[in-house]
Amino acid sequence: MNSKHSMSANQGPVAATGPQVGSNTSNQAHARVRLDEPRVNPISFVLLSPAALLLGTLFLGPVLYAIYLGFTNLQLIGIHAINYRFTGLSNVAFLLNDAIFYKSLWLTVIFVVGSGAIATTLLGLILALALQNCVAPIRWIASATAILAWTLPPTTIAFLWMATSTQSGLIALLAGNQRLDLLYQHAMLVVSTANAWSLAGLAMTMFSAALRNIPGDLREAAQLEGASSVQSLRRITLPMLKPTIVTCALLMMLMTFGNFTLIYLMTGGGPGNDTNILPVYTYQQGFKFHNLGYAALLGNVMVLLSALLGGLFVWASKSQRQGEPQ
Amino acid sequence: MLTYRVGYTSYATRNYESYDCAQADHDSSSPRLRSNRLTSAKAINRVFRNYALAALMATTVFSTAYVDVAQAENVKVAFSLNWTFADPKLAQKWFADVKTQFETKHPGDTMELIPVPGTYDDFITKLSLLYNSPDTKPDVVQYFDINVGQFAGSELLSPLDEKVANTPWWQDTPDAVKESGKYDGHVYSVAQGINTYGILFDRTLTEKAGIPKDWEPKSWNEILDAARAIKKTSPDASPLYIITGTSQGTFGVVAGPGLLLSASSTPAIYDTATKKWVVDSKGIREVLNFYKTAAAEGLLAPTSQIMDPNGATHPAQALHDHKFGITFAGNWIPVFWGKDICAPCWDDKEETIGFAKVPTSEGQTPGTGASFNGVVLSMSKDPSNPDLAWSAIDIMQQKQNMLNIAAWVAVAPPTASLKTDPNYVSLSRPPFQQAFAELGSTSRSMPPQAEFPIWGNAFQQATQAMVLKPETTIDEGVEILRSNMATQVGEDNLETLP
Amino acid sequence: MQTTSVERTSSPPPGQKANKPNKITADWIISNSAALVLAAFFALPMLWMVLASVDHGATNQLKAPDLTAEHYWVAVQADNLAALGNSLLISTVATVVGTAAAFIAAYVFSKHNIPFKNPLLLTVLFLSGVPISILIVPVYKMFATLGWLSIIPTGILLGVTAIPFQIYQLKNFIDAVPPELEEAAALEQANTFQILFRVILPLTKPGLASSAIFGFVNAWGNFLMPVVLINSLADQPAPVHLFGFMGSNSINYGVIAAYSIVYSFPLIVLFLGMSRQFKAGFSLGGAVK
Repeated sequence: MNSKHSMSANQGPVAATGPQVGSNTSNQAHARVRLDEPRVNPISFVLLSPAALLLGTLFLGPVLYAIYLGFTNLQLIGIHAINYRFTGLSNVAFLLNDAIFYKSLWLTVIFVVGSGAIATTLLGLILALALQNCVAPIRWIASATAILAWTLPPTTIAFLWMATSTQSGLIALLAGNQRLDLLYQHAMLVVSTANAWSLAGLAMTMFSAALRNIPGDLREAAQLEGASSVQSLRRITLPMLKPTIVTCALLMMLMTFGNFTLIYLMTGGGPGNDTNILPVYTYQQGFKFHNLGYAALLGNVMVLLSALLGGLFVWASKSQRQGEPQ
Repeated sequence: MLTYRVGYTSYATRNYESYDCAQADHDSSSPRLRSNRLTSAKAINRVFRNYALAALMATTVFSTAYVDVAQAENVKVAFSLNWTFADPKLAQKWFADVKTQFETKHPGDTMELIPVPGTYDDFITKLSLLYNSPDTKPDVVQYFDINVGQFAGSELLSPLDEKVANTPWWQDTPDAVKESGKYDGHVYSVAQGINTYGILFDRTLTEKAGIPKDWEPKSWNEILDAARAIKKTSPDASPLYIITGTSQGTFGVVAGPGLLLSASSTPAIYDTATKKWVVDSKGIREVLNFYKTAAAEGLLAPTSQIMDPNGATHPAQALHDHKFGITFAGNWIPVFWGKDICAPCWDDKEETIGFAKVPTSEGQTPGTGASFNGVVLSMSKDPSNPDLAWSAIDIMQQKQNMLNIAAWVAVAPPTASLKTDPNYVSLSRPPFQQAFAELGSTSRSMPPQAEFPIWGNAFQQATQAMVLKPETTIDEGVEILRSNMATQVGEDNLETLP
Repeated sequence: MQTTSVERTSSPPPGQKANKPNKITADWIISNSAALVLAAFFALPMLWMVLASVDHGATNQLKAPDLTAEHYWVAVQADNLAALGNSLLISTVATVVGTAAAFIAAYVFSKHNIPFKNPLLLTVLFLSGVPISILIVPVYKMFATLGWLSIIPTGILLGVTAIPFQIYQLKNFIDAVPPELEEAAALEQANTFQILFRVILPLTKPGLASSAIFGFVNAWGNFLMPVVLINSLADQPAPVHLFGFMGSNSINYGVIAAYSIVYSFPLIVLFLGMSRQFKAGFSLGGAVK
């Protein structure tokens, strides 16, 4: 009976996500393995049931439940904390007139694309390229610290960057202006940098691995033909890295999108609403202004966005597999 | 292990309800609980409901098992660890004292202390979360009057009108302070002390700028002029310090933008006659303009300080270091320099730092103005034992405990007799203690309506924008306040005053 | 918020440069100065934190420390250690629950034939990309209704949030196990459980290790879930405790730095100590390959 439940629990959102995700993607490898074993073994469902049950009750279930809550007037405290009810489209109407929501949506795009897709990927790429031809001590320090930065928990990163970017901190010191207060003057820039700082180590390892796969003779041939290093970078290295760049950018976007802690701890969404990305705004609406129902609706918007990102991810990896010989 | 301990107390508490109402039938004993579950069960799918039933059954089993534990009573007291008191150690010491007194007075009963860490808004969020579960709901909370309306309006607090009626310390409390803890005409909180706000100025800087030793500014322009003079003569110091910004939470409204608004031409925030929120008025424009002018001319202290979550306490160190010229400061700053708190210790503060009342914007009558807020105690709705919870509050309101609050929080005592008590007055040499305490009678409290935190947040956003981007026009600033309020409380509930 | 385990080589790509003489060319200068700048970018904030943690008068300025161990002494006081203990409990629960469930599910996805496999895998993939902060409202409501606002359910929840990614991660490892081994075991009358635990498990230990580390790190770093879902303040884990330090009336940089280091240390050890295990394999997101 467990398995039956789990099946139904798992099927729900497939219908919802199906359209943008495309059709049968990820599993050609499996189809091959399974040709010799067409029979469905009941034990499979037993083995699937713990994961299905857990995901169904604590992940998918809540996601579906949130869809409902998004259309209610549930409050954290207040008269609608217990006696809440379905309020139809009134939350949606509110959402459509909520200037902060639009701002928040825009900031989320800036943060996810600017910091995640562009800054982090670029930083990782430059790091990996620079480390190729560089003396051992620098190479060691740069790669070790980049990876260390990636292993640090978000709370530590937030503290580190708060100290670094406020008055008389490291940035002020380097800029030679003790009164420089970058975190308050350009909050989005600082949190984006902090985010890129914390993820670039991962991007770097991805690019380093990809660089190793580029055959050395390709470049040597180019050198023999008198190509400058800029030319060989543009003509050989970057085209070869293209699939990694796409994958990396998408993965960094997904990871940046989920980054609530960093921004919440560094700025709380402020100053004003300058860094109020959707995850922070959702928390603020739900737990500071006590509008849990509306917060659930904002969460639903985030699910849609992440489904979009996920769809992109699947699409990119599919077209990669088709286009690439490797 | 900790979980078990918590589970244990909560079951004991819950069980007590059942002990009171229907000793025999445990299941019917918590109808409220069950109705909660049923309402939401409608919404959630069958799986969840099964869990809920299982949990309910587990509760029943536990209640049966622990029937005789319910003899000893427990009063849960929640307070802010990092915010209210000057130092977390003082908060713990004060509540430990109260706990000892309580448990001596009621042998066998216990007081459970719930210290909540973090900034003021984090504290309020955590309180809301604690209230959402009967296991963790506190019986008594210590917080600030600015949030009383929110909790009372959510039906989480007990009205205390009957309890306070015959209490000497309540009768000794001035009406303005009593009013600040009321909601909808009922007493929902009692004040332990009030924060008042004035101007502190550093004479080492002001004298260099040619400002008299006993400076008494008559209007906001005089303050700006003085700040301009300090900027010329002491370029390394920050001429003017006044906080703003959303990160300070609702508390920060009273100590910054709300303080100025109280001294402006139109101090009203909530119009009690029309029951509408004021989102545009001459006063609001004056405040926005004050921030704008100060920021545009570079008179303000660095944004990382005035917008810091702890912005309201920075002056203690900075004034000591002669970094701030003119500071809009809370009454606690001079007490921080005293022997009890020592943050930092400062002996000749009375000679170095001058005090002035905040003038009205254009010098109009009454000449000065300011805001105040109270540190208050409230009792939750349906506490595990109302009499015991009230007894806990009463113990906290006794003279020595109140004097310690005055010294450690620090606040001006709310009652007339304590205000002149030598123990309080001697916390610093004149003028500070007396002057800040006297402000209480002329200051305004923030409106008690439940939506005040929303208005405060919007006003913080507007004034913050003025500081961060002084090119923002006053109209744009007003629009920030108005549009935020329109989305949150609705266009119909807003109004413009001349 | 989401972390990924990756083959970790602190040594750089060995490829081309070993046989190339380090001539000082324009390229070489550009590469080295770029790397130097980036090294400083990554290292300086950390250097500040390390110095502040041993500086008697620590501020947010980078300066030579007035050496002291007092901040570490504060950081290991009882209640601070208790918070670390709570973190350990949450993360252990999360790791065990998540990894175990994900492992057997991954086995089914890899080796068994089940209906709707592709849609199911897509669902799992979709979930692995959902930011878990969206769970906070429905889960809070659900836990509040059920009286579950405490440490163990929160640990389980955090474990569950890691499952989708772990399934993909482990499936890749299990895919690599040759089907012949399984067939051989099946010929010897081994049942599914025996195959799973005697054949698959030993061969995928590196995969399990990296998956478990992912689960652990995912739970260890999470701030939002505990702050909302654990009502008892004594049960709050280290990140929430750390946040309490930051939100207090006066920021004590030295203590926060010391506590941050103590709190981050297990992760660093886990990552660096296990880096060899990772060489056995990594594939990004599982979904790609």
